[in-house]
Amino acid sequence: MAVPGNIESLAYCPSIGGWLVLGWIGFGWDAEGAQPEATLNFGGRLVVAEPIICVIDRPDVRKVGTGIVMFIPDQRDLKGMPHDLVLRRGDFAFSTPLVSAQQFDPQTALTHGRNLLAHATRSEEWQNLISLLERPLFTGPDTIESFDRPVFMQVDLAFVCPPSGLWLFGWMLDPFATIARMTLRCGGRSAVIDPREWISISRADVSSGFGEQFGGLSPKCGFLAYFPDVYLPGQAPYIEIETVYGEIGFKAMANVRSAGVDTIKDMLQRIDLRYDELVQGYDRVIGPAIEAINTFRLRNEVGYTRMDFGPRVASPRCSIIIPLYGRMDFMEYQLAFFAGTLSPDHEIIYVLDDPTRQRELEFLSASCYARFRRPFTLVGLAENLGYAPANNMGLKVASGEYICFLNSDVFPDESDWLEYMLQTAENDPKVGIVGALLVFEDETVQHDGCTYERLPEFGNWVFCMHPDKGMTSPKVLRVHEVGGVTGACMVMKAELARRVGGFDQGYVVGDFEDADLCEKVKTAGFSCMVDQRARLYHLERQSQGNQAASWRFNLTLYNAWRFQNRWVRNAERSLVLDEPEAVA
Amino acid sequence: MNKIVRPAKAPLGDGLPSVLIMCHSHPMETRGGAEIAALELFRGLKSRSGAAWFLGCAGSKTESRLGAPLTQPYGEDDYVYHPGAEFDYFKFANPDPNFPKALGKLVAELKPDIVHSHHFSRFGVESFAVIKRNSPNTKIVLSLHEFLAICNHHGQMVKTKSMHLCDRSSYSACSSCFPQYKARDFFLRKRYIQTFFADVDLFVSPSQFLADRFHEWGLPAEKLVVLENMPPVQNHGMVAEIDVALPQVAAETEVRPVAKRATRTVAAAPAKSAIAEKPGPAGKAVESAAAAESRPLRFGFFGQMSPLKGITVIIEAAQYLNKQGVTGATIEIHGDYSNQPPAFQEVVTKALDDAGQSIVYHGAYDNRDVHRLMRRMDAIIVPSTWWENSPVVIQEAFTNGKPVICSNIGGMAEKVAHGVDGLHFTASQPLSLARAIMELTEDPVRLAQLTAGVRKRMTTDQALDAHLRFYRSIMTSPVRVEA
Repeated sequence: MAVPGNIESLAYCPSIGGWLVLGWIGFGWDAEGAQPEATLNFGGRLVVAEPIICVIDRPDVRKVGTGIVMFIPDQRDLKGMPHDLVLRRGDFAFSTPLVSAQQFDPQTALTHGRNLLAHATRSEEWQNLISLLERPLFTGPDTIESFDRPVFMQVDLAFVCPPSGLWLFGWMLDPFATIARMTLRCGGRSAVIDPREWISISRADVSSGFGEQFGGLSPKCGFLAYFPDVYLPGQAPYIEIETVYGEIGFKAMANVRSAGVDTIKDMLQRIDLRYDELVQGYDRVIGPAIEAINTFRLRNEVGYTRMDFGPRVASPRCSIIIPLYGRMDFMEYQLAFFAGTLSPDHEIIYVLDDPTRQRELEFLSASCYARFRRPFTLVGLAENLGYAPANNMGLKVASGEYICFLNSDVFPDESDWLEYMLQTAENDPKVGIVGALLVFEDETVQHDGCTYERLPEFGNWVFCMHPDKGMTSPKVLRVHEVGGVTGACMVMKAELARRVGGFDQGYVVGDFEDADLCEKVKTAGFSCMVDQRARLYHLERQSQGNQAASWRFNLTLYNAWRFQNRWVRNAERSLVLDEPEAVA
Repeated sequence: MNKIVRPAKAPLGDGLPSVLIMCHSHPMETRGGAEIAALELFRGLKSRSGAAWFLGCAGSKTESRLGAPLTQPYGEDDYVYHPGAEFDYFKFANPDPNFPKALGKLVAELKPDIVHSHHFSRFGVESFAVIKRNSPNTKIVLSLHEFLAICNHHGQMVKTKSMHLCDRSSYSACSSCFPQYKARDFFLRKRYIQTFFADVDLFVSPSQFLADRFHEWGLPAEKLVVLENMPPVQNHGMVAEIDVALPQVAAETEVRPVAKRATRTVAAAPAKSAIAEKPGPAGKAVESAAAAESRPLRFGFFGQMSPLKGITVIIEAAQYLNKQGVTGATIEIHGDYSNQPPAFQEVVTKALDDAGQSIVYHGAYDNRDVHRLMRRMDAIIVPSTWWENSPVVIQEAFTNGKPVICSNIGGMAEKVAHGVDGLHFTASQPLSLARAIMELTEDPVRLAQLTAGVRKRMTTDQALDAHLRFYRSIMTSPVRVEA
């Protein structure tokens, strides 16, 4: 049943998170029963929400209907004005174009709305709406410290994790336990701040500073919190605190920056989670924040350049893909050792994952080719992408029947290493991935296949272990099946590598991608082997150190978290775990 | 270890091998031991009308030509390489992308029977692979001059911090000397150098000691030979004068394959010679000139006044002699320390003052005067605190008929026979040096015996013959190895 009416003005009010709509509407819409539903149409994009509608006396339309003040929540702020409005309640429908409606600025609209409501009939809707409209407005300055019983808060770092996440690091002191509710607001969006959801961090600097004035305060007053869906571009986020006495105060956030890979490092160096803290901290804060940053970082196809040094290998048997980052001279060593030992049937592809070193590497490449005459290809990425995407780019340009993913810090010990690996891969169609026996420079084992183990100190998550690492090399060489193979040196069919999508790019910097790839291949029905006849040196860096709050270690934990989510929690196929000792 | 069998002395025959001599610095630029040896070899081969070419690296004295890695400013068989990129002195890699092509073209054109390289520095160890690629029949000979391939500390096998002697390189020990490099970097360094050393057919070491160290480091015994470098050019008139008094030594014994010694013979003196045991006619006839003139004995030091050359050892020995009131000996220093670090210069200046009458500092000398200056001495002191290989100063001392008092280590101990043509003292021990000096001041006959014990060194011609014989042995009969 269509009814008459007119919407005379409307305004988007970020401080209340929605549209304030003024006008009149014909009798009959307020039938008991159904909840009203408002639909704003932005030219195809719809905002559907449950409105709050208050009736006001309008003598000019008294014969046909009543005046209304309506609030339509909309946190998405689609920018621009809606074309039309549809209001439904049960069978009742009111539809009107909005082209002729007057647009107010938020301030005017709120004042006008409050004035109209002053004379309206009291109801539950009225109460809800008036408290919304009378809420103090955030105008910039901080006001929480002027509460009767003050609250102290500081957001030291605020990073936008696109599109709409906010990652905050700061501290909060509530010496009189007066906080009733905290809300993070940005434009029309808001999110409840629940301290149970954030990661508490010791901030002795803060608690000791305030301790004199307020007595014993917990040093764990720092926080790292993540809000996945609150940020609106162009809007300044702020925190609204409501006390048990009904006061409302605000805390501004200076210096909101966009997050990048550096942000991950910056934030991760501030935490030191162990045991069960790990699960909540990574589920609620670290995991979604880094995922958002990483997804955004890799959202676009990145350009690359390809340079061939020497003739291309026509239909290569194997493409060796080697990402380069940090030590460029490793390429020089590798090519020197490959020259004269590696069959010319194989192509070598270096993927430079650091555009700032492009010129330097081009010169070194020309020099290496002149010196060693071993043809190779250099792929230069337009951006630093990380281990998995760099390898995947190599996979994209590779034309070999097989792929050998190789790290730049792996160096052959003898000339037939790749032939052995290929032989093992070819001999049995059920073999998916072949790894090598990797040794340190002192000939002890660096890698002879991986096993999986749960580590209680890290949330009982499953980690890759390297049996026999640091031990003397095996005397009798064999080909043996393993749980996983390191990405430092692995051979597989190019077709299989492409079918499973290469390395998962959700891991950051370089951990667990190889175990993930092995799991994908195993899920597809293949096995992973190590061929000890293929022996190479892996001069693995020793950089993680023992610092408890090492960002790098925490990033490994992020990657571990991702691995759990993909292969341990809710996985259809359970991992075979290694129990080093029997359980008593 | 494999037993090494070589053909007996090969006749010199008519056809001389064609040789390209390479040296990391062109002798027109600098005149170190390697440059002198390389230049003498080149001149000698030319004098025999053999096909010989020279390739040396340019320094500040030779102008480069845009886009031309090789030039010939010194004549048609003489090439100069102008390095086009910063050299990697860690692993001796030459990143210059234009050099391999230029060198490859040169050897493809010349097709020398032999490339005799007097260093791998500045050319880069890759140059051996370039030569083999472009002229597969060419044999490559590399003369070793110090331990550079083994040791990153200027090839001296002396620890960086303590300056203690180093007996053996290892990845972790090398990393302790150079903490900016990890063990893995030294692993790669060694692998890199050895990868290209595999293209070298024979390594020439002027001393057994150096050869042993390289063998221990990984060079196969069958690829190592001990052959003394070409001696520096001499004033023939003067040498002839000395020759009269010196017993001859057979030139062919100077080429010998490596047979690793069981132990390092640091202090052990070789069997006493007939001269030392029972003064022969020469010993009897010669009385110390100093004793005859009743003047103090003159002990000469020639060379760079650096810590590794043992300058502080010699000065402290002089201080000791001075304190003891020993008046029968004067140590005369010929050398320069103006290019040493300022702090060290200060130490030397003060120490020289403290040594009083026992020391005379003459300052820098022109190398052309070395023979004249040495002939004024009664003995020459070589107090190096590093191993040395085959120091030119020992060759020069013996050429001038002077016994040598040297540190009891490495190439010095090998070249000087204790009690025969000189004395050994405990390396880095000034007191030990002072005692050796006092041994001679107290017993003038002893000095006369040692002087008489100095044997004639190979002439340039003999040394050249030895080289030619050695070349021929590579050419005609490849080294055979018997299990």
